[in-house]
Amino acid sequence: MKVTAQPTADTLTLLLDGELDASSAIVLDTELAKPDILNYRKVLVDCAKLSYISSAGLGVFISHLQRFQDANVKLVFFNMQEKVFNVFEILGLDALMTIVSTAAEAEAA
Amino acid sequence: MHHPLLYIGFLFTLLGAGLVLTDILSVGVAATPFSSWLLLLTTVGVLVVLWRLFVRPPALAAPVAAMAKAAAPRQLEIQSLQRLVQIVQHGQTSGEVYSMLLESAVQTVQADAAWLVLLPDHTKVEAGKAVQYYNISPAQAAELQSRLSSHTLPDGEYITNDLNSRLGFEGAPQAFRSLMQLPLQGLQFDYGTLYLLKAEPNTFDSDDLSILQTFTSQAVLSIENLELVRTSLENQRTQEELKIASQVQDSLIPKNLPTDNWFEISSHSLAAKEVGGDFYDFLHLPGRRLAVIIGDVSGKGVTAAFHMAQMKGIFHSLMQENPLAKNERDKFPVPSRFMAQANAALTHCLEKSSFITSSLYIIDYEQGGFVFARAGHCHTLYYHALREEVFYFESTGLGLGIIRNESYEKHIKNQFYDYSPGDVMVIYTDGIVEARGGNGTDEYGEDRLKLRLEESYFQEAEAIKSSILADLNGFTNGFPIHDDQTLLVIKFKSAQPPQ
Repeated sequence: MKVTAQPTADTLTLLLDGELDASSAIVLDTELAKPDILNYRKVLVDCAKLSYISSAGLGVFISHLQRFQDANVKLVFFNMQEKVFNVFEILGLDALMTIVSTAAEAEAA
Repeated sequence: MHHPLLYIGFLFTLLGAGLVLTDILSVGVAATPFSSWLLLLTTVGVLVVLWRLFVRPPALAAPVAAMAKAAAPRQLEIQSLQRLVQIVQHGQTSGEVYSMLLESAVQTVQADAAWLVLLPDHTKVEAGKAVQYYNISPAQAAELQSRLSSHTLPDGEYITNDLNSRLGFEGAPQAFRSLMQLPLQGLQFDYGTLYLLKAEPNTFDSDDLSILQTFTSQAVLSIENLELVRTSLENQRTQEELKIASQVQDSLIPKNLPTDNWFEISSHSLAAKEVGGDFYDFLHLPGRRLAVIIGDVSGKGVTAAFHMAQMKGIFHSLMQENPLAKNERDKFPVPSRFMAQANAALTHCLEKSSFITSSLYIIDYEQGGFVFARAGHCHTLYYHALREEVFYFESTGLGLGIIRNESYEKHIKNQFYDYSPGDVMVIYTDGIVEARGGNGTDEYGEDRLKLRLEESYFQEAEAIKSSILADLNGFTNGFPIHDDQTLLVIKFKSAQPPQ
């Protein structure tokens, strides 16, 4: 699992590459836990290369959800593979998080 | 073994003597120059024999004396090594090994003073025993050590022939002139350093060094063996604890499935580790009603197992009859109400990154229907006998512990359904549909599970479960399970089977 951060003026894009499970969840958590991440207006998560997400991986996003909402930082997922989207949907996260299909939609969100 | 010269001398003597005798017996013949040579040879032979027999040559004497002198330390060395080995065999402490090392080293090289410094990180010695002294005061050892550490020896050098001429000792004449300092090096760590002192300069030689190097490496080996024994005992204890945890958890999973003549239930559960985060339970409610719950705590192992036990407790606490209820239907919480209450209860019990998915079904035989709520749990697979159709229930609902406030209630709802005899409900956790096989990335999947039910719905609950598990095992083909697996099959029957 590789996490690449691409910052622009008011947006941070995180590229996830590989399988997000208990062992790789720590890498993502470190990235999301950085205090200055709350200075961005939006955090976009590019899931094009995210091939699998386990409950521990979902747990990382869930644990930061409230913090992002409180700081008024919008969390947007895009380019999600169907299999990964199903996992978000079954858990009911699609109703809580913004999940769009393309990068353009993510930027407009 | 005699020296070869002795035999040559004998040979010459015999030869010479024989020839002289022949000469004398040849009467009247005067002494020839030939016989004079023979006489000379014989004399030389005799002299050589005498010399070899009675005078011990000095070249031979020295090594014998040295051997006699070395015999005592070698004996000591062997004894000390034996004691070191015995300490380990008898399961004694590392502290004893260190004392033994100091004592044996001093004895073997007949040191006048010594001290042993142990590094606290890996030696596990008590704070007061980090330095051990022999015939030297702590203050004196500390002073020497600070001078020594100001100018360290190059790698591979351990002996100082005269401390008075070593860097760091200028203008400080020493009572002990010779020093040998030996590091205690293990495979991964340094354990400390052994310092040995003698009053006279130039008194440690390479023999002393090699004997003591054997000692220190044997001591380190002993320490590391003791550590291995200790860790393996610890592991054994942990294994025992886990076994108990596993038994306790096993007792939390219902063994006696509810029975009645209007349904059949079959169940299967398998944890990926000793303990797991999957759970299911049943509760008979008044009237011909049955509550069925299934759940999956995020993560695996011990943490998940604790939350699983919590969830079981929450289920049994909330599923109590409310005596203040105004009507029959309100005596037990409906599934969505149950989920909202469970979510509130979990708010303070679950760490931030954990969540639980769950589905609760309350089946009512009198009404011929059931009501359920799905809190982020896997979709229920269903066989509808009248329509002869297999499908997944499509319903929305958020997992527990994700939103930890009142607004959770907006994300969970009840779904009602009427069933007919012959209908089959398959309830499971994601360990089933996400089980991996083939190349290690393919998942079993909802589609294959659905197919399986389409082929087995007419069988009894137990047979349907077995057929799904057999297919699942064929798919994973020995690939290790990475998540807990739970599978429940419920088949509805006519209360009175047709005659």
